[in-house]
Amino acid sequence: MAVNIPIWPGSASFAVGDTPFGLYDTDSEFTSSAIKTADWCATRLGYPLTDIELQSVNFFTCFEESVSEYGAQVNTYNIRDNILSLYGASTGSNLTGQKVSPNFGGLIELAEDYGEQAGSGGNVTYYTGSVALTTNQQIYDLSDPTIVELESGIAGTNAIEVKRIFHEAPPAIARYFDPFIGTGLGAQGMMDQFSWGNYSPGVSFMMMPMYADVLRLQAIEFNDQIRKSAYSFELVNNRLKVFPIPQVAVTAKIFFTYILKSDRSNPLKGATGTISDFSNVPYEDVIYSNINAVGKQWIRRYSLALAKEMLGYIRGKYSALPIPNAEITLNGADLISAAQTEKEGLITELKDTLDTMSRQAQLERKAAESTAMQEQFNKIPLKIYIG
Amino acid sequence: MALFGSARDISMFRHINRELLNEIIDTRCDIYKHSIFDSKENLYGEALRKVFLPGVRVAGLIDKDAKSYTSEEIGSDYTRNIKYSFLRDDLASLELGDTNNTTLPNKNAQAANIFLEVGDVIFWDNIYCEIDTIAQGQYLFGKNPDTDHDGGTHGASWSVIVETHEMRRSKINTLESVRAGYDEYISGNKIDEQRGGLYG
Repeated sequence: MAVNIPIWPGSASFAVGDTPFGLYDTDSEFTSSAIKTADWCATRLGYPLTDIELQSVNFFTCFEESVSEYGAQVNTYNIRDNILSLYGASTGSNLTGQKVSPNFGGLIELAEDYGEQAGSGGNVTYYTGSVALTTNQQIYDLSDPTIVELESGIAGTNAIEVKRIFHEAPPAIARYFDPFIGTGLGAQGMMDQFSWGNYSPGVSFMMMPMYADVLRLQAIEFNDQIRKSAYSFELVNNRLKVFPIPQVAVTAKIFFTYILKSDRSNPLKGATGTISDFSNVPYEDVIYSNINAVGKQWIRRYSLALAKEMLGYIRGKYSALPIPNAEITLNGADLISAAQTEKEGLITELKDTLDTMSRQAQLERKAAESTAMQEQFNKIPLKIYIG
Repeated sequence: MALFGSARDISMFRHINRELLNEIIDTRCDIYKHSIFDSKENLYGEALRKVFLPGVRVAGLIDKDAKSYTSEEIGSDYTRNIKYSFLRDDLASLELGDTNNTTLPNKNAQAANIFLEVGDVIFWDNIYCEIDTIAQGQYLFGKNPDTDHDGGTHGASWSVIVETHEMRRSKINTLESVRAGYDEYISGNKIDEQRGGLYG
């Protein structure tokens, strides 16, 4: 006997393993639908008037692919619509069929580097460092580890970026320790010149109004501005030039805050095992029995398109098919062309439908609805009072 | 090992051909083979009364020429040529229904249900035709599995094409011929169902 590969006999039965991936084989609703869909597709392709050169497993394959394609489209839409809310969430829990609540997690994640630059938060640690001052030395090398002490890293080895230098004039209040003393401004100014401004001779006390304190503080600051060198600094390429030239003991330090450049450049700031991109958002295969009637009809139509395409490739494998003493041409090309058009149309239809359901589209729809409603209300005649 | 024309491809071709010949075109003829051992021959080796085996009805493509008339001294006459093209697998075995056959294509040609030979008779369109020539040279993918060096896993001998001429009814013992011998006419059956009538 010659080899005889059976073709569609007019009915099918489903067994676990009849689909290539077996993704839905244990779903009883899927299996019963697969049989009905196979029968429907064969009938739509011309059976029983014409033979259909497909087997039940071909139809089941198309059906499984259709369910997977439907799920992929829906999941893709969900990922796209929720990705900002999903960044950083655990990859361990299946999101299929779950409502995703919007949150600011992803948005703030995007803004953290701005916050870091602005010094208002962010995900880069601000460390504290200090440079030891030397009497009469105005310029200091911040890459010199013998004078620079860092909370994290080693000066000259780890690149840092100084964020703030605490080099300012002592506040007037610190130099005005005891506003109740009655020694007069002259004595205070004299003591200040000897760096004893915050010490009080404490010889006498008197009750004074608050404005007197404020005026005196302003006087101290004003005096500093006019008669003394201003406190300032210049930092260029690790060279810190301070003004005025330090006239203090060698134990004095200038403190500063800094970041490690390597911290800022480190792209892996998030925890491992969290959602990082499109590929690891934990959407699994859809559950067929949970799909509504609208989705199931789409799946059936897509199954038919796939079956049509498959039949087209089978009938079109050879451009001319031999018959006794002649050749014929089958409708493979027509089937493929029609199937591809149908597939493209179905995908576009589904994508368009999903796009209209995005949060942005829904909000725009609501806004348009509100505007239209307002226009309608505006057309309501105002009451006319006749009195 | 060839890449194209495997047994699976041939099986698909066969499905298409059978659908086309048997269900779409559906022109069927009856083939009667000689029963050699039942035909008595005379002194000269001539079998004046040929005996035929029961007819087998198969589908095929039929190309019927127009009549060709001749007019001679003894009167006018006509002849007609008809070409029958059969699917070889249909002739080889009318029942190819099993599903687990993974043997070689056309391997069982020698177990054919019917094997056409010159002189066999084909009845179609109320015409009896005698086979003049038989051709079996339509090899798919250029291979005859029965003789291919590669073991017969690819290709197929696809058709049996016979050229015939219309016979005089007087040459066979048909029902219509009152000079026929012992027929097996079955009362009530249509004429084309009287297969027994060709036993001779």
